Amino acid sequence: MQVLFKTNYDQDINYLVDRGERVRVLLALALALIAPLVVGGYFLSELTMFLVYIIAGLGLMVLVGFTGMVSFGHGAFLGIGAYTHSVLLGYGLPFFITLPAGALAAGLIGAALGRAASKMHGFYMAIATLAFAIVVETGIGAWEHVTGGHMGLSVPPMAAFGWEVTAGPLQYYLILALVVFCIWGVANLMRSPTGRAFVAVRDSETSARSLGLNIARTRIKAFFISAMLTGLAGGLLSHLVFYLSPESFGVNESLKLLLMVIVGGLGTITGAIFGAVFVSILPNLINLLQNFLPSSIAEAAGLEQLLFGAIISGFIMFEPEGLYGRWRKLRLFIETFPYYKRATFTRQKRYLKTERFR
Amino acid sequence: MTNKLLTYTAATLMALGTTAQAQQGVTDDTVKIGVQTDLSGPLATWGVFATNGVRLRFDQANEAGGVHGRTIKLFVEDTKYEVPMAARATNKLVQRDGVFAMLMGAGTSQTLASMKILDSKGIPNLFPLTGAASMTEPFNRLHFSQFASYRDGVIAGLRHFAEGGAKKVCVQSVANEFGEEINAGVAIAVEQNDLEVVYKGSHKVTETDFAGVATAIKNTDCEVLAMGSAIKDSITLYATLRQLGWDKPMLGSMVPYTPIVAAAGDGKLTEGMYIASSVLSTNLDGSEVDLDSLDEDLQAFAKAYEAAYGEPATLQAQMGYVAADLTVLALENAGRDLTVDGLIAGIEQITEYNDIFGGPTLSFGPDKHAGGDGFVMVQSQGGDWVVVETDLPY
Repeated sequence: MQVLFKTNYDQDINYLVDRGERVRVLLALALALIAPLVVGGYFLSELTMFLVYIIAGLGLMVLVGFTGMVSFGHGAFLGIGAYTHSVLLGYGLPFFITLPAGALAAGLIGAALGRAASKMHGFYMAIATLAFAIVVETGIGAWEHVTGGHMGLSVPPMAAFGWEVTAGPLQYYLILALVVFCIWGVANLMRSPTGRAFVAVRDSETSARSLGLNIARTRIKAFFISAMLTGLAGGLLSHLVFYLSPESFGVNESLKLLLMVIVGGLGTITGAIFGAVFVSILPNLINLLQNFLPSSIAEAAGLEQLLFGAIISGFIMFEPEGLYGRWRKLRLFIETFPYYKRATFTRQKRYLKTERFR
Repeated sequence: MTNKLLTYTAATLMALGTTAQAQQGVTDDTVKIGVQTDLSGPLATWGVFATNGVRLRFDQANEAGGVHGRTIKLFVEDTKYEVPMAARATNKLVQRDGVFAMLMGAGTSQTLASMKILDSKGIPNLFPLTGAASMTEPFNRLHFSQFASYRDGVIAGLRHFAEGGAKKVCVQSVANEFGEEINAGVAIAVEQNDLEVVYKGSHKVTETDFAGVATAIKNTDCEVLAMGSAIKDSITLYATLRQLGWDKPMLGSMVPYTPIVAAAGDGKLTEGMYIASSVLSTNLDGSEVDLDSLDEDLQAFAKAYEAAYGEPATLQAQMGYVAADLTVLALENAGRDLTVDGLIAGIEQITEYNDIFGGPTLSFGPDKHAGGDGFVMVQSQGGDWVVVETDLPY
């Protein structure tokens, strides 16, 4: 087992704690950088989709994992980002202006929702955000002359001054750069006073308040940052789906995002990445699986939903800390063998609380 | 990389003997066709049956030795009727499976998303499972549809009633892309026939109560109602209006053209409803059908379908079968040296095509990529759809 000796105060605020972690992150980055050279066109488009979902997952993680609020409405922010970005692109603005504009629009609307929901908890907040998702979907559908209504909106190419980013390695690297930037940003946020305040509010509102934190303001900030990241992901997503329609950003999409962070592991950045792996790969795995199953099962309607649901129920029952939690336990098991003890991971903090205990 | 390059070079060298340039999805003995459709989402009843129809026709073609010595390989991807999934499915079909053409894309927005990818790769999109005008408009040499659009259906239907003396029109549409297309059709029909819209309403897909709408329509003096509605809402709207004693004709589109609508409430609820459709349903899945009374081709189809899938063919299965039949015909026309240009020319050669179901003829041409030449008008009578007009131009 590795013991970290602290020889410097800087170690407390390091992004990566030990050497193993540094090696793993560098390895992942290297893999991501060489990926376009070795994989084919289809796989690259799947990887790009996966990168976009990392950003969306990070956004939701800030809210659910770090600040302890639940949102059933993040699909709406994805939609606001995607529509703002695409509509502005349609007016001929360059994409490096429209992408931040989309993110900002989502962030501001998120902050407004956060203002309304900042005093709510548990079920009430879940219902408020769910209602918000439905309102946004209906609103996009009704605002015909801007969004194209239910007829949908064709996404203009990602262009700036006559220069175009088309699907392929260039698009992939651009999105990868944004992902790395967002991860760094969130990691940085979490060691700043604002991030510490998020965690304090999550763990105990009473103690946070007695430390002089303004709970409502902290929560609005969390909503703003969370919605902004998800809006950015929405803008990027629009270039991968080519065609926007309000139904694509409904409650289903919100649930998918929420399940992503829950399965990945609440409260860690790595959890968001693991969750994105899960939602991107699962449909492909199921496709592969279908080749081996007898056709009566493989072609049954709703097989994917069934497996999806079964996996999620499994996680909530047996591994509430998600894939990342499982990975940490596995690592500790190997590192400390044969002295591994379960109690190391007994939960002492509870996230996603209901109003029963605050 | 080097390996890939070597393989390509080797393949090219081998191919040099036979064809000049390799065409994606075409080999000496196969041609790959892709389908993105809804197999497990809200429109699975369309997607599954249409795909069955396609598969049946391709299997028949393959059993007969294929087209110009090539067997047709069908690749089907499920989209659950979601736009992002449709883009993803298309990416997979195009880049991993390497299809030559796409067929029977389900859903309007879904197919529009899919077509953006196909256009950039120069892959044709054939005969989608939607009658939206946007499938062939604006004109693109790669886009073909077997239908005349929903919009043109309303135009044709309303002209029919205008010729019968109707002057004032009501329209009630569902709030989605389909409803908007019906509204556009009504607007054109009004222009062409010098009519007047006296009531225009919209409802949500999930709406179940039409008492308010029906009263509003009854209080106007319109002489025909155009319904841009789906299945359940068409039945409810129609039944509510009739209950209120409104006796003017009501015109629906191809979407509610299913046996369930005609048979609703033992056929009493929708008795008299008109539908202008660009295909003719043979009602093989309707009430009691005597297979032996049908003509030879249709009988063969009905029996082969039942033998393959264990249930009677629906209208969607018919559409799939016709789409696949047109594809086979186009592949035959295109000849042994199969290219995208050859396929396009092959489809454009098809004129006055009569399907085995007796619907309106289909013709294509260099400027005509929506196949349907006209519409049939059917009416719900005694629980079944009965043809009242076979050749309705638009």
